[in-house]
Amino acid sequence: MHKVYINAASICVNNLSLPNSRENWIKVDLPKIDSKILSPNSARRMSKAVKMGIICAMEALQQIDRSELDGILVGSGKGCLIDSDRFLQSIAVQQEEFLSPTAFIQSTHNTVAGQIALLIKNTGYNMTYSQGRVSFESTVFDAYLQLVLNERKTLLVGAVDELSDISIDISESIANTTDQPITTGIPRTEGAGFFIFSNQKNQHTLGELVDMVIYHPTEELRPESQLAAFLKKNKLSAEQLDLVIYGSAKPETPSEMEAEAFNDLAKINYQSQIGYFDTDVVFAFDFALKQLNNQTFRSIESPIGNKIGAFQHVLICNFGDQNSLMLLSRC
Amino acid sequence: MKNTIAVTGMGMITAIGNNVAQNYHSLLQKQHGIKPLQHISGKHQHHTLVGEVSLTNEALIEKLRTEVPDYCSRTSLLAAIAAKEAMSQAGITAAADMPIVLGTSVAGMDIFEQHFPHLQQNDTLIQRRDVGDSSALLAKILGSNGYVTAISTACSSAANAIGFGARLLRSGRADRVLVGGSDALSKFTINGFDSLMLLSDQLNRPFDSNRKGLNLGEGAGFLVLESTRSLKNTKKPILGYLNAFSNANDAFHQTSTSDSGEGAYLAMQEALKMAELIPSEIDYINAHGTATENNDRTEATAIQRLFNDAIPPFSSTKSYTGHTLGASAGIEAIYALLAIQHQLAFANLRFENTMEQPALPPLAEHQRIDIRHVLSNSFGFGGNCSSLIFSHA
Repeated sequence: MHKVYINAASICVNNLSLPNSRENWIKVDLPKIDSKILSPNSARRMSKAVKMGIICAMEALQQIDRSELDGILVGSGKGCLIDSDRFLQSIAVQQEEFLSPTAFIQSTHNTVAGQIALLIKNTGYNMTYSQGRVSFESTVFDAYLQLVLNERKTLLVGAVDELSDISIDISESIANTTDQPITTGIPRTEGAGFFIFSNQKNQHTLGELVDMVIYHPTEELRPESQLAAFLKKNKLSAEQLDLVIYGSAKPETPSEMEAEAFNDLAKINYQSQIGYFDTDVVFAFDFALKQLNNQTFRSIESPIGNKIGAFQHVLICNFGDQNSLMLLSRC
Repeated sequence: MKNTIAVTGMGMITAIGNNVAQNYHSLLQKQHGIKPLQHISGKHQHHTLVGEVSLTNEALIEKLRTEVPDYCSRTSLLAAIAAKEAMSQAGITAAADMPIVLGTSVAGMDIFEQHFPHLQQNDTLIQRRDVGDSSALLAKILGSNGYVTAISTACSSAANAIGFGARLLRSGRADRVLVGGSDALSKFTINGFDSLMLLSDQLNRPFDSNRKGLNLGEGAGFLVLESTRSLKNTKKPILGYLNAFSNANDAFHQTSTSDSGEGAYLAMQEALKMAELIPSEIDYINAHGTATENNDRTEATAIQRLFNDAIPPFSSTKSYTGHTLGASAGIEAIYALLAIQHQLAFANLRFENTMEQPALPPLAEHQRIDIRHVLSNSFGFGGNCSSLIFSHA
C-alpha cells in the first residue's frame, strides 16, 4: 500500500468577499492565458470550461517534470455546458439544418481532459467522471486507488464546471413562473481546481490524502456513524480533527441530519466564500491544503478561532445524494 | 492480474435483441438491426439509418416491472434492463451496497432535448441531462444504496466503467460491482455526427475500402464482476475473466485519430502487458470498427503495428448494432465473452473489399476457432482509447 501525496495545487474560483456578490449567478473572471501556453487563436475557440481547466492544469504542472505525468483525470458535474447548450439551440433554431459541428465536437464531457492531453502531448491515462456533486470526489477516488495500488505514480487530478447563459435563462424562467427563488444566499457560480497527486513525496508536497469514502446516507448510515467508522479505520479520534470543511447540495436548506452532523467538531461551510457549483469542493480541497501548511488564505469565520495554523488533520465533507469524506494530513 | 476478476453476470439490450440470448441468436443468424429511425421525430425520422432498440419507453418500463421516476431517460431505462439481466444471471437479488459504475456519453439528453428550451417549468428535466443523473436513476430503479458513479469518455465510456469497477475489486473496496454502459439515441447525437459528415446513408461496412461512415445505435450492456477471492467458497459459475483494462490518449486531435493509431496502439499494448500475454495469444479481436474512414484505417494500422505478421481474426460487430457510443464497450464486452463461450469469432457483415492501407481484411464469415483470449477495443472523441481483454474460465 502506497501513500498518496498532493504535490501541487491551482484553483480558479470566485471570491465572494468582493462587492457585488449578492447576485444569483456570478461568473469567474479568467486571467489572461499566456500565449506561450495557448495561442490566442486556439483560446478563442475554447469554451470557458476548457480554458479554466487549462489555466489551472498548467499552473499545477509547473511544479513537476511533465515527462513523469502518468495521466489526467477530470471531474465535472455538467461537463461542457456552454457548447452543449449552443448545439441544442442550433438544432432547435435551425430545425436540424446546416449545423456547424464545432459546438458538438466540444460538447462532450471529456473535452477538458482531452484538450489538456493534446496541449501537453500526454498519451497516458485519460479519464472523465461526472456524478453530480461528487464528480470531483469520484475523480480523486480513482486517482487515489491507482496510486495506492501503484498502478501509476503521478497524476493530474482536477474538476471544472462552467455557467452557461442559455441554462441560466432557462433556470430564471422556471424560477419566475414557479415563484421559487434560485438561491437564498449562496450564488450559483463556476470554477476549477487541479492538483498533482503522486505516491512519491517531494519538497513541494502540500499534504497527504490519507483516506476517502463516498457513500449513500441512509437512516442507518447517518453522517456520525459513517464518520466514526472512517476515523476508526484510520486510527484517529474525533478530537484529532483540527477542522471539518463542509459543503452541501442544499447549502441554504440543509436536512436535519445534515445540519446536526458533526456539531461537536470545529466545522465551517466553504460555499459562502466561493458560491455553489457541482464541483465547488475543489476549493475545500485547496483550502485544506493551505491550512495544513499554515497559510491563512483568507479570513473565515470559524468557531475555533485561534486554532488556525499548525493543523495536522483536516476533514472535507460534502453532503448530498451521496456524501463524501476526504481526510487530508500534514506531511 | 491473471484470473482474479471473474465475470458472473451479463445483461444487454440492443437493436438485435432485448437480452443476451436474443443478441447471440441474431449474431449467429448474421441478422443486423439497422433500419430507418422510428422513435425520434424531425428531419432524420423514417430516413436516417440507425440501430434502434425496438421497445418504446413505455414498453421498457413495463418490462422492468418496477416503479420508475418521472421523466426517466431512455438511457437509464436501457441501463436498468441490462443491469437486471446481469444481476439475475449472477444470482444477485438485491443491489444492496454493490457499487455501480455507468459509462454514458449523452445521458438523459433524449428526454431533455424533447422539452428544450421550454422545460415546462420543470426542474426535474434540467437534472435529466446530467450524466450523473442517469447513473443515479439507474441506482434508484435497482434499489441500490452503494457507491454510484459515472464515466463519460465518449465512445470508450463503458470500457472505462468496466476498468474502474475492476480497480474497485483489486483495491479490496468491493467484492462485486455492476459495471457497463448505456446510451439512448438522441437528436443531439444524430445531428452531431451528421454535422461531422460521419453518418453513412447506407448500411455501415467496417474495414471495407468502400465504407461510407457509421450508423448510430443505442442500447446497454452490463456485467457483474466479482473478485475470485470472494468467490472462493461458492459454486457460482464463472463466465470468463477480465484480465486487462487499459486506457491511453492519442493526444492528436479532438475528433480524429493519428495516422499511426498511437493511442490505440498504446491501449492494446498496455492491455497485453497487464494480462501477461504475448500478441500471438490473442485469438480474436472485437474491433472498435466504426466504419468511418479515419477510425478503421488507423485502428487497423495500430493492430498491424502490434501484431505484425500474425494478425488474429478481427471483426466489428457494429455492423449488427450500429455504433452505440458510450454503451458500445459494454455491449461488445458481452460479445467477446460470447465468442469465448461458443468458440465462435463473429463475421464482420457486408465486408467485400480490403482496404488499401493497411491491407487487413476482417472476418467475412463466422469462424469456429479455439478462443481463449479476446481483445476488445473502444476509442472515442478526445483521444480516449481503451482496451479490455477477456479470457476463458
